[in-house]
Amino acid sequence: MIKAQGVSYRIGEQTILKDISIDVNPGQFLTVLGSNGAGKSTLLKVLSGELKGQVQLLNMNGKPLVKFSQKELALNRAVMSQETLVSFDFTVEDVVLMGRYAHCGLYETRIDREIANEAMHQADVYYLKNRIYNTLSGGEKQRVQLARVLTQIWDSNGEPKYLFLDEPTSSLDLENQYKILKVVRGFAERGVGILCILHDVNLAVRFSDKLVFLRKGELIGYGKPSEVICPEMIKNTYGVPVAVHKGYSAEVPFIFPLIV
Amino acid sequence: MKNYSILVSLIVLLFFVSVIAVGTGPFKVSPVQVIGILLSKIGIAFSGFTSAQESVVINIRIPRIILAVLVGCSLAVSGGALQGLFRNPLVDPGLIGVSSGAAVAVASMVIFGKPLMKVIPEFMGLYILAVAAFCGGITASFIVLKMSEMTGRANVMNMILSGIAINSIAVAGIGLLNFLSNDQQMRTITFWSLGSLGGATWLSLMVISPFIIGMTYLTVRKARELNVLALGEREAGHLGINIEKLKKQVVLISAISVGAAVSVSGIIGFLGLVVPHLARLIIGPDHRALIPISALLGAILMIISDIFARMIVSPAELPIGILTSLIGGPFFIFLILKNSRLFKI
Repeated sequence: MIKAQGVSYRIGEQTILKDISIDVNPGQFLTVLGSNGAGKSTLLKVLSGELKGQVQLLNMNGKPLVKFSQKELALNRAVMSQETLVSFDFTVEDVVLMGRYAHCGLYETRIDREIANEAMHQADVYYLKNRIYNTLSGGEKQRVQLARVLTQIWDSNGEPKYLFLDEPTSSLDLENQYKILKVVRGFAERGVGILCILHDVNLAVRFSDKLVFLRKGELIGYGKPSEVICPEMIKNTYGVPVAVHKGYSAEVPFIFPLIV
Repeated sequence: MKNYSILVSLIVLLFFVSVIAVGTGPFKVSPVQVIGILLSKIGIAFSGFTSAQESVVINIRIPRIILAVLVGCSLAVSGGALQGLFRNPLVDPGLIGVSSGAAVAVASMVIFGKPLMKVIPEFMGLYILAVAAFCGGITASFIVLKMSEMTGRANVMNMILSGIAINSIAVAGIGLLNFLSNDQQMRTITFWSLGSLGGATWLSLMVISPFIIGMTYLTVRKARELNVLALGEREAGHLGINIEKLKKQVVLISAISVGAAVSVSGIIGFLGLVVPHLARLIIGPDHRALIPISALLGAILMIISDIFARMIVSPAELPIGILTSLIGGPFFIFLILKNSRLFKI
């Protein structure tokens, strides 16, 4: 479990995050929602160890995050950023294999290659294997990056693993949004803890076990979708009036913006 | 497998240009005689050459070829590694200040070093410029590294800007030293900064080769990290790379290697910029293949440049730095026009 208590982050006078406490449990899909600038990415960066915030407690698998070396962190959690540019003309396969960096020496083993192939199949980019990454479309790049982070946490070393995703569906079409989140969901079922940032509330509700609502760096809602989704919460978060309908089921409500 | 055959063909090519280069010069030695002399050195009797030929080949030409190989390898490998580190295809080993630092040290030594010459043993006097160049180069790179760290972390843009600043200060220093020098001293400084392989001796080779070979080996060991760095510093960090450490290591490795090379050869332009591009064109961006291929290509191009440098104005020789820039410049323009995609980062 990643246990975060009293996480704050300031830049000078400006407070980006204020006293946030959340848990990322193995096997659980946790989604962070909030308007632009609410502090979603900053929260993800602090929890991934990229930024050092002021924290009361920040543990991964029972050990303080600051005690992990960069390599140990890499063996336990993978992070997919919003957009990843690759310098030089590396192929899709090269990029995906980079996910295995912490696991192998100067050269990848046969096992690393098999894992990469399997991950490419899952993210549906295997047919792009030999293409140059920089020639791909935005959506294709995003799926390749997903394959890369999947290879990083693919094999079990006994410890629970975590996957951090910052808007993994931002460039994807409708079909691929569902396809990709299904793959991520599958990893949650294999015991991986997921921390994901999404903008589409309905997509978040459909796939997440728990939702976190942020407003101006403060936590204003935290719980199961069926418990926290209501017109007031959405209004508080995004400033948009919505109607909440029954979606796929009572557990998976559906919001409909009431903006004319 | 493809990489393997390219590697083998380049090694064969390196051997052939070496044999041709050993035979080239005002003193004629045929390729067969070159091989004969080499065979006789390892105990296989072979006649058909004179002892004068043997002496020229063993004491002058072969050290020169080995120097060409070492310098070409050092510049190309460092260029490739630094382009990878800075994720910028326009980086040249000179960017980290090593060449201009060496030039300042050499110019100072030429002008102010006279008193020093009297106190040191005579044989060392021959190498005093090399020692100064090496120390000057390393110092300048160290300053670039330290300066870029002053803002907290050594980010790439800071390092490039520090490099530019140190280089321009060094250029001013060289200008000032030139102004203070007499005609003879100015000539020495200018020729040093144009590069030459004429200073090759077995002793100097023995001193610099461990540095260059060792640093090339270390660079190859960093190849996978350089690959992953192509994803950007953040992603590389998430994948388990200690970026700050990697930057320091690669900059210092390159500074030591290039410092050792320029200490004997003087400044050789353009090779470190062009060769990695050529290698990338042949073999792709994977540094695990790119670094060894660059090493071989750098060595081969250096030998070919040296052949031309000695042929064009024979029996005199052209400073080799002029030739590498003269060939490298237009070639680079050709690469840009031909393959503009190569330069996208």
